Amino acid sequence: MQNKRSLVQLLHLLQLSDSALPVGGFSFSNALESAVQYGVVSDADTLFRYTASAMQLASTTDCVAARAAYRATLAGDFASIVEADRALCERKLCAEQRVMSQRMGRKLAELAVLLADKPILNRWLAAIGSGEVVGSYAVGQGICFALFGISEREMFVSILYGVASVTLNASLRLMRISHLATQRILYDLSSRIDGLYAQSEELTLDDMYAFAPQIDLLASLHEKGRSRMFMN
Amino acid sequence: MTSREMLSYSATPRMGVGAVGKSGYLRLGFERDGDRTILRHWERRAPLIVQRALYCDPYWREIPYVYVVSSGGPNVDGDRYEQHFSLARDAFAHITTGAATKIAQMRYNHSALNQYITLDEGAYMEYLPEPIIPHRGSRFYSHTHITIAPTATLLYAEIYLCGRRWSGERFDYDILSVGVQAERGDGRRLFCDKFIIRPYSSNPSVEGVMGGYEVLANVILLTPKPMADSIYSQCEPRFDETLVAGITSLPNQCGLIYRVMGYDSQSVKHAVREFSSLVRQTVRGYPLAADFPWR
Repeated sequence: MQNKRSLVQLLHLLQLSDSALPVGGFSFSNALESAVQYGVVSDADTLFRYTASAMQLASTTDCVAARAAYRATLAGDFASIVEADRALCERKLCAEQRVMSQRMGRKLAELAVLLADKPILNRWLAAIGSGEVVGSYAVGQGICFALFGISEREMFVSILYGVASVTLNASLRLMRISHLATQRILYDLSSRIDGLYAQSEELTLDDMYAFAPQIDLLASLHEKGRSRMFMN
Repeated sequence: MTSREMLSYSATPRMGVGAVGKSGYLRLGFERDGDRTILRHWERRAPLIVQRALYCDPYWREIPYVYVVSSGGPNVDGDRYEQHFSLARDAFAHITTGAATKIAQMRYNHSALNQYITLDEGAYMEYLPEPIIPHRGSRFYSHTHITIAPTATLLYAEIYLCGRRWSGERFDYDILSVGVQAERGDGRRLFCDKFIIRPYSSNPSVEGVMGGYEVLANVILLTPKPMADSIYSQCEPRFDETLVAGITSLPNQCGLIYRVMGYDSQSVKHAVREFSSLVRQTVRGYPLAADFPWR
């Protein structure tokens, strides 16, 4: 019985982590579009470091808010989910990053309601509709992963995989790089995951911090940019 | 309460934490007096010093300039500073520092600064201090708590160097933890910006973080939406060999954040000043004069 259940959860984990999940990840680049345009990222080495920075950023912000929402969902504490959403939004200082989080969050909420009939999901989607919450993607992930019985550690990996795959998939369309090279980068990035988890695990909502000024700056250049393929 | 990231730097230093001469305190309260704003309330404890308000602006004669000076030289191990700036209804003020804030090498503990800024309706404040320079082996924690009325404007700029660049230091400090948060008078939260740099556990020079740049400026502008929209549309992003600068809007429609990264403090300071002049011109109708040539 235990084995059967864990296989179901594994399948849910794969489904929620898949880059084909229809939440619109393909239309975002984590500011890579500007990074390529301004020559900050130009080859596999610079792309590796840029993606690692984006993952580091998510590990001390999105992942922390997702964990708070995850625990609040298990406790049936909707007010704490709202608080995690608010705290995360207050710390996203780039307009485009907020838009990305909000749009993907809304699509995830709509999808989740379709997949599972849970009162908390309906309430979350209604709160997004009424403007009571922003509906951040990471907070939505926290709710879904908790409901689908996936562990906190697996959720952490899935969120960072999402950040990496959005960035690397965008790179295929933005610069001269092969699918093989981006797969190699993804594989090599795995060496950092334990360190990032250890750093993220101890943080509470109040401790969330971010230091990726170049990503922020590139996102703000993108806002005023003229030629744009991606929404961020 | 000590913040989580500073716990490992909290042993007792030789002179004790916040001992006499190590716990600077400053409380400045500005009020309108006719056309001018005056420094009405004024408390200070060494090593933080303010001598008087100066009316030295060539374009805006009524605005008081206050230079905050730290008589002890650099911030040292176990220093605890606290600064309160408050502007009453319709008051305006320009606050800066006399020189760059140097954070000296530390062995046991850390140096901390807590700031509280309160702006009442219609108030206007510019906070444009000289850069902060964290020396090799230093640990600095700074937290700024802003309470601002919806019709007030606050221009809050911070410039951080990677170290004493002229002696070859590049991110040689132990930790730099900086937080700025703002809320309305009724407690409604607006935004929270917190960054922590630990150069020895994560290289800040990589792409996406500092990307090889050595000076960072964060300029927070809290202002009513029509002003923010006007400034946003007038401000052009920059990307050239020496400098990159961009602007974006803060959450909850509370204002803008202008960021600059560069290789030397002069060009970054210049960009911050140009932006500050745009803000003052748009919000109050005066330009900001060029800084003194020795600054």
